[in-house]
Amino acid sequence: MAVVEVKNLSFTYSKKTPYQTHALTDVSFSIEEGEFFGIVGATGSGKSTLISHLNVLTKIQSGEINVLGLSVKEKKNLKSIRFSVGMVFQYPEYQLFEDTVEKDVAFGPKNMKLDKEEIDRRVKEALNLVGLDYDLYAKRSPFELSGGEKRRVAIAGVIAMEPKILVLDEVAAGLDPEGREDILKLIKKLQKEKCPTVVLISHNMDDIASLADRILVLSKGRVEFLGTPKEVFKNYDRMNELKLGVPLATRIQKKLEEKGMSFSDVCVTADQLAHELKRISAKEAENV
Amino acid sequence: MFKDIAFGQYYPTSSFVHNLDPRIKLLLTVLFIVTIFFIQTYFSFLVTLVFLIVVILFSRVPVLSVLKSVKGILFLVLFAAIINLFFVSTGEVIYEKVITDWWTFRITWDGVHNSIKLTLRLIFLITGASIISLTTTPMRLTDGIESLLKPLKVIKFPVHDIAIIMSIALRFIPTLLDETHKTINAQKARGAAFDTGGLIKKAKSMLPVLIPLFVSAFRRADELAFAMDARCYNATEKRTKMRKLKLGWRDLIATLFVAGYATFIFVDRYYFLGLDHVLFPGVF
Amino acid sequence: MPQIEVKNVGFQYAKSEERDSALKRISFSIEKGEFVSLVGKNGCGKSTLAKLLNGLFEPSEGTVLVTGVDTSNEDTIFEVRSKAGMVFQNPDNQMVATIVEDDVAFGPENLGVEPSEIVKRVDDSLAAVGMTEYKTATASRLSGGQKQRIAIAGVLAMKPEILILDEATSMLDPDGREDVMSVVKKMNEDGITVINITHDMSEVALSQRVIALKEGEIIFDGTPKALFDSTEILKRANLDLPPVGKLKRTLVESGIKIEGDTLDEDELAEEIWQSLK
Repeated sequence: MAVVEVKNLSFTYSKKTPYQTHALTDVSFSIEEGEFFGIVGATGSGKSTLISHLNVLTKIQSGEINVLGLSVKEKKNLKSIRFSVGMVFQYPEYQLFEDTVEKDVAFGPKNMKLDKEEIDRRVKEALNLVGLDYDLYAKRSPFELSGGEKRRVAIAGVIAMEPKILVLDEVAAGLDPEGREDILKLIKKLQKEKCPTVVLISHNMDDIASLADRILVLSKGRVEFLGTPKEVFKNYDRMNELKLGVPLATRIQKKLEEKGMSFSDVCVTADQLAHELKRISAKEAENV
Repeated sequence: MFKDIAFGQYYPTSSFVHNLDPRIKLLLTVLFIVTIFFIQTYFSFLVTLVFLIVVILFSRVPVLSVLKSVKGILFLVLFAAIINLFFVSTGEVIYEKVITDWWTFRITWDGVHNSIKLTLRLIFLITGASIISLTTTPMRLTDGIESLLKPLKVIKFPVHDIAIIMSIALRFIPTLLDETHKTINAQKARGAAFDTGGLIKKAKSMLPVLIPLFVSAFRRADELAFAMDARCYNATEKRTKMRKLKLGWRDLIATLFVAGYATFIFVDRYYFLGLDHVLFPGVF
Repeated sequence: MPQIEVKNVGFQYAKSEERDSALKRISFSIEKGEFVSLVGKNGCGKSTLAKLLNGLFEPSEGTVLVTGVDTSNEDTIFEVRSKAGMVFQNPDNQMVATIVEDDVAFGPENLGVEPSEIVKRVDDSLAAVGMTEYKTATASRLSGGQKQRIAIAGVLAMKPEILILDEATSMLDPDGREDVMSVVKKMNEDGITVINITHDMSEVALSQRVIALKEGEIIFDGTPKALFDSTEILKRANLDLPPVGKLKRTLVESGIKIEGDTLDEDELAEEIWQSLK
């Protein structure tokens, strides 16, 4: 079942002024339930405008969007769409404002008008899910935590709303290598245990290739490619032209092909490349 | 988008007006604004319109950009005009209705003229002010203000620091507006409602936006202070300026042009006592 | 004489919550023209160290000498700062002017350089970072990578001998990161000493020397190759291999024999080619 359907979506900023810019032009795609959906595109390709449509932060101008079967055009659907699409924006720690971690995580659930026990249960669960021990962190001020911890608190604040679809924009940006890895592991865990449908925006083609089931490539507000990582990254030259590039494994494969090696499939992760290379070397051994 | 607010936004191009000395532009703008309050006749308004069109043509700024800033204050202008229309009660009566025994609703010809003139004055004022901000980079504007304020250094007024503060404030307006927009979106996504309830509830509902903004503004200020120190801010008393402000032939022409315009307005008012009577006999 | 000398430098923050970024009596020196990476987990003291190298912080103990000048001496502090220019992490928080050229001119103006000379320096610096066409652009409308190149130009306009980058690429997209690093490499080839604080191991691979910090102490000082060869040090410093190294590790672990120890993509492809030919 498709949880998100986007049909012929177009959007223009500052219409009929000298600053007019077409942010999105005729964008169509759908996201299936339980899918890990990647979105890539250069800065200014319309990614942010697109995701802000998904929970009606941007008012739709033309086209159609249905989230869980609800049209974003209907005003009465606004709340239920906002609560089913969880948005983790870039540098989400900058939205923290309460004096304790607990209160900040409870902000979303409170806005949902849940009762107190349910809010407490969700706050506890969300904090534990993001790897912050409730007893240790609940009463601390979010402002004195480390960068990585702050980001976890912000993510917990979204998770506590128990969204059906989790949208993450450059969630690992600005963290140190360890923090990066932890956050990416966390996303996988969240998908498995809490919110199976994930939309991930990233500039890192290696992350996207290893995580996403399907990838949407945007260029100048239009859909350039839509498909599995292999289907997308086989367009090696075009992806480079768009200044997005391809995963490292694909680059190495390309260099090997130029030297004369022949592969049976596109490799987008290190494991796939290893698998292919082993197959090739086994074949070589047979031929000798 | 927030980044496109026209008022106070520089329109990058090169033109006669762009290349004027900012001090001259500031002084001439002040002269222009003073002058429009002395306009008495419709003929003078017409002359002012022609004057502004000439200035805009020489500034090579699209008329749309100028009109955009006028649009921003349209509400204020209309409000002032309506107030004038209702509360001026001298002159020939056009419409009259007794509301209560102590107040009669009355529209008079004087009220109509006053409203029209006030509207035109305000529109011309904003147009004049936006021309200087569209054709002068904020940095040059602060240079100009700094230079004009220089005499105050004698009384230990920190002219240079004030200029830097102004420059930084201008520089950070788009950044902070953008951040406000992002924070509002982030909190909306968490279900925050900003437009319901009474005044106190409304004010309280702004906290999730205001607190992150303050935290971030302080962080930015902190980092900016380091960045400025690293680039040797306050290294010497003898700070120099990349662009020495120098008066040129353009400034002379512009001054003569604006002075000519102002002279006409004053002559119209005080010498001819309003040319409308001569030019549009019968109407006025 | 080394260009930078750090002798027994310790540093404590007044505020207790920042205690973990303190430095514990460290010493090292950097020669003119070196390209040094400074790495370590967040809070290990890297940024503190960077701010000590151009006198933004004064050491609590020990001395820092930049081109022989003591950074603790208030009379010569601006000499140090103009020689050791610094680019910070957030592109938005280091620009003082709305227009690009005015921002680049800020440093030399502060130093009291002659106006005609400033104009020349601004033009040269913008050309050096490839941003000449943006000279009169509005800074807030540029991309992150472009803003950081402007920040580098602003440093270059002070005619520095040392360029310190404090996680200057961490907020950029890969494209912007590449542009900034290629500018930095060029500066280094022109003789400017580069000290790059980074989390990006591919940037480390570009440098000639790495200093790794942990809890305020130097735990490694050597070539990138030596660092990446030592699994133990990488682990201690909470670091990882650059992507090429990681890919190679996966290949080797799954049984593909690869000779050599390169961190370069072309060379890795060549090594795989050689081993499977």
